[in-house]
Amino acid sequence: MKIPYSWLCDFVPLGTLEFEGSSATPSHELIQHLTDSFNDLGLVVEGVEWVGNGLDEVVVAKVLEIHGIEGAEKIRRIVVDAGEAEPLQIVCGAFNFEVGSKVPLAKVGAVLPGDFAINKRKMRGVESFGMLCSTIELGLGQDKSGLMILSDDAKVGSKITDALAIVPDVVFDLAIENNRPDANCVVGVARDLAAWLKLPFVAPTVPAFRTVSPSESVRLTGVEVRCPDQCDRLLVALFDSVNPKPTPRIIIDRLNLAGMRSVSPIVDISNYLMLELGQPTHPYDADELAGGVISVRLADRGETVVTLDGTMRTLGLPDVRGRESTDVVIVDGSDNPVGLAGIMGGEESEIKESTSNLLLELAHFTPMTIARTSKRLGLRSEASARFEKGVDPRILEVALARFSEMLGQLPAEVVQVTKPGANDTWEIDLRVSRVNEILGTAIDSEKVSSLLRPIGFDTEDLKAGVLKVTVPTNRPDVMREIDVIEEVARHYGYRNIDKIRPDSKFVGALKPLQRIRRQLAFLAVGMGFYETWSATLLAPGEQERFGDTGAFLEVENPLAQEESILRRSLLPGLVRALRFNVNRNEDEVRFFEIGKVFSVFEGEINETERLAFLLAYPGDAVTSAMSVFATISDFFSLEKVSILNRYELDSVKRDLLDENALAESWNGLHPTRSAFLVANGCIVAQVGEVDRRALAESGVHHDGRVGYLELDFQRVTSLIPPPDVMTPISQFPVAEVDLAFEVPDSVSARDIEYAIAHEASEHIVSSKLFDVFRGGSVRSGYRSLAFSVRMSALDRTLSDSDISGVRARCIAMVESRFGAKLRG
Amino acid sequence: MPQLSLKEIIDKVDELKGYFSSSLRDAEDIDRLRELESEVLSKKGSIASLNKQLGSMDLDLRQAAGTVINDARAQMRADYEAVLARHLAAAREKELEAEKLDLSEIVSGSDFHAGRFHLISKTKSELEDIFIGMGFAVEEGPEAETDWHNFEALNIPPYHPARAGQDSFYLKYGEPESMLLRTHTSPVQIRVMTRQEPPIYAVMPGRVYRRDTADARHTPVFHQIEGLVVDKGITFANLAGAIETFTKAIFGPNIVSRLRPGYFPFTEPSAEFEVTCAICEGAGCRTCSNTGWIELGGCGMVDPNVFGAVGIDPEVWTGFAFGFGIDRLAQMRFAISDMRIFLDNDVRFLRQF
Repeated sequence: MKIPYSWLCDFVPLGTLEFEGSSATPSHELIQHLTDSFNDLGLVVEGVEWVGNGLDEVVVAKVLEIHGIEGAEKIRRIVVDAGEAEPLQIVCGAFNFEVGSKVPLAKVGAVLPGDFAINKRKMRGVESFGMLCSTIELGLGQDKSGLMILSDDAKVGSKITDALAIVPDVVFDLAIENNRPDANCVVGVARDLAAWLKLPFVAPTVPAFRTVSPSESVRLTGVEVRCPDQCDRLLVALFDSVNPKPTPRIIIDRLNLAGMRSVSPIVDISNYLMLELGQPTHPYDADELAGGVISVRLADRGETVVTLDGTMRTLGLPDVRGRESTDVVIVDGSDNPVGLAGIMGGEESEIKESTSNLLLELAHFTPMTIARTSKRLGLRSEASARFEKGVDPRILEVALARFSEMLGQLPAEVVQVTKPGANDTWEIDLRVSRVNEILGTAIDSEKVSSLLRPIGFDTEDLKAGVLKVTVPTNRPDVMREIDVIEEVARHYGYRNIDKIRPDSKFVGALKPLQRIRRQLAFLAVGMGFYETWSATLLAPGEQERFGDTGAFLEVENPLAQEESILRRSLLPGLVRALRFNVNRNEDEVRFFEIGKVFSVFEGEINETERLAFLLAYPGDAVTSAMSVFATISDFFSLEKVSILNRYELDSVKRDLLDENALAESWNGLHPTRSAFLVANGCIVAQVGEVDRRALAESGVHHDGRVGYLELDFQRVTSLIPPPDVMTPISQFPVAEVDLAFEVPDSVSARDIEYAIAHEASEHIVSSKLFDVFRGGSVRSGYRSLAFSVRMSALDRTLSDSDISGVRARCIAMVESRFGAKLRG
Repeated sequence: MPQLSLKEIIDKVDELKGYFSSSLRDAEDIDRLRELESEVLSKKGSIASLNKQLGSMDLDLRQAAGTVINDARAQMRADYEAVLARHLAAAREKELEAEKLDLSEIVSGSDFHAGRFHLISKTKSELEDIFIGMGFAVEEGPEAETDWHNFEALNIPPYHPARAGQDSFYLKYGEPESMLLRTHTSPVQIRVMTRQEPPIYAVMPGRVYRRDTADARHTPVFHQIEGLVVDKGITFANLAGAIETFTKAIFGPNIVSRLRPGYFPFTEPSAEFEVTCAICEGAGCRTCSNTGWIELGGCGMVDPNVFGAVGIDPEVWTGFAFGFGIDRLAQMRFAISDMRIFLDNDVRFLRQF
């Protein structure tokens, strides 16, 4: 909210603060002090704008001559008439004017906004007696095109403030939080500020007219509130034969400074009061209203009204959650809607220049009503923003009195309808001990009272450490003891509260999974991978491109369709990252990412964490992807993982997998050059090549074969064996035996390697696949797999017969279990 | 075997010494030296066989001849060792010269490549470690969250004005607007408080989503870290102390923090916290818009309504919560002009951190 300093001064005597030069125009020190005060109060200053200040020595000048300066391209020598006896010579860097233009001249001695002092200067040997100014330098705008060009009728030599009719002021741009409905107006801000600065608060004028109920009235008997739960107070006033004077200059200036435009005398008064008091008022042309009255009621289902912005609004519909509408309309005497209550008036009864008889609506709507209608219609206005947050129900009379005062005319008749209790204050018991328990302070009840009273909270000491606090009606946000404590804290000053470090009862530590996640990340970085963070939201069809047709989650209200689908896998994001870099000639990348993926299975959202690696460089990165897994497996001593080539899925191998394993989001790799890593019936990871066709469709033009590995973080960690005692190491020599088998293509090499190492004999220390070949004497459908098997015993050197025994057992096991045959 | 006189022995020894000495001098390589050693000095060499011939001599003579032979052997051994050492040194020198390797020519990264952590995750780990040091646990929660956890339990009922400031991505799932991508990490507070009895000292980092059009300072996807303390006797002063502690840990000892009133539905009293601008240390610069302060995040005392939603008695327990943006922190510390670079994954950016 933008609040001019001068307006605040109507309600709090800021000029009496002891700062140098704090008379008509505030000093920088005062404004800084006020800025700090606002921040301390939680009315955050987002900007301070000096308007028309520092312009005392700025006059209208007429350009007489323009000359270049030798050796200078960016400045010129200008001769101007500034209304003095002799023309003045000025050096100027702007080019947007010509001889005859009228421009502002800051004379020597001027101090422009921002404490910019103008002195006599010499540039390139040319003397300059002042500065020709832009709007920015004068604090009058943001026009960067050059000098401010004044109108031709500006009087040469006159003060710029006179020529432009500028009244100096300072505007504070305050961010008002949602729990400060009282501060959505000048008076509310002034009250808070006065309390903080320990200055008196000058309340606005009090009503000086009589209100009656509609039944007691003469011409407003038809006024009704048929939905008191949504509108608990209504004042309707009639002003006959209005003849408003043009809006005074000071009102226009203040409206402008607050960010509103002057429209017409009546509308200006209405807007001015909304800014000053926080109360929206709505003027109608009484002659355009059937029956000359208004009433308030809930909208009928499907009822329409054309609002001031010319849009037809359909009302009375349930919201997205299916809740019944609480849209409220203002209707005329024939029950026809003439406005959308609290949000925007209707087109038909809008006041016009010709309006003679005026009907003024002042209402108090409950915040939720306005919030719901405003949200459903996507229609917000200055009025709705205030009603949504809560307006003071007691301000209606004040607003009407001010309206009457500014219009210069008393209302002919005023009626009011008030729901019982709507005007009541409420009381809260405040335990002083609780204040100190929450804030960590040591203040007594007297101090608490002294902090609350200046902001309108009445207090009564009930003794025994309890204060009865009466909350003013402009603070609907303060409903509980804790809310009062916040007010105490605010006016005590957050900065005055000690800083005491809390003493945790615990020893901080990462949880086991978090530690493993970090280890995995370190391992990945150690293997040379760069960590990426790719977007969670993908475009429709982006996953299908990789052959992933599983059920996904979708955003109901995306910003753009390209970001509407929740990723089922990290692959599309990593491919995007690859594309980004390949397009910038970085075609050698090793990426890893840890992140959440989302899918829907049997109607349930399944959110899991994945770890993915993408490798791309000229050549074949697929085997490297596999060795990344091997490295991880090795580092964490993972329990047995089987490799299930994707092309084998239809074969008997399928029984390795649980029924639903393939319904998960493990798709997207090359159909014949990828595999699932399987343990306990579940897919733990997938590895292989990113399908080049999908890459091409994704706009990635890469020559190499792109390798990819994606792991389910939880499942991989579940394969990490619990810590075990040390395995004894043999002190005796190790014997090494090489065994080559002819093995059917359908059998996994890794399964054999694992079986030899773990299941053939206790003497076998390790087995390692070291050669694979097809063809030659090997039958088709088979390949030769050669393993190097190391063996030893803890208690002795293995004898030749021991070794041949182990070898024989090993061969027997592999042949019988895997349908393999030892090669000669 | 004929009896030799002492003189004959001496002559033979001298002859051998002469031979050995000239042979040593002439030896061209280490192999020849070793041959010579074997020929003359070894157990089967000339000296040894000369020694054997003393067997039949008189004891006196034998002792005298033995001395002569032993002295000569020691002398020759020493000469041999010296020459051998010289040859070995020369050979070593030759070898070193031949094997010379200019390591400046080795292409770095040809065998091993250093990877990099993403700046966000590096910052996140650093923050986690600071809070672990303060005795906090690290807690996590889902990104696809219920409206109840994300809003209602945090004292933000439907149509609450605070919802407008956290425009949400709702999911097409279940009842309309019942599931969404969490707009902050605060729902993890709710999850922690519903599954754990106080005392609680925890931080909750994670990815969050807001329906904001991306610009230099906003991305629809970003990261926050949230802190929650619930214990007996926790006060606003403790909140201020916690913030002072961790901001100093992050930015250094010259940084101070300050609180000013703010508003969050889930805390009361609420505050925004600011720290001395780390770029200018308070002097005023562009980063802090010449205020000397940088706004870092929000905080406050846990609202009794939030305790009510999770079944914690606010008369027994009090607590505070705070939160701030990890991306924003990294942006500020490393003067990153446009936040959107965090999701580009440009290797030229990634390799800088």
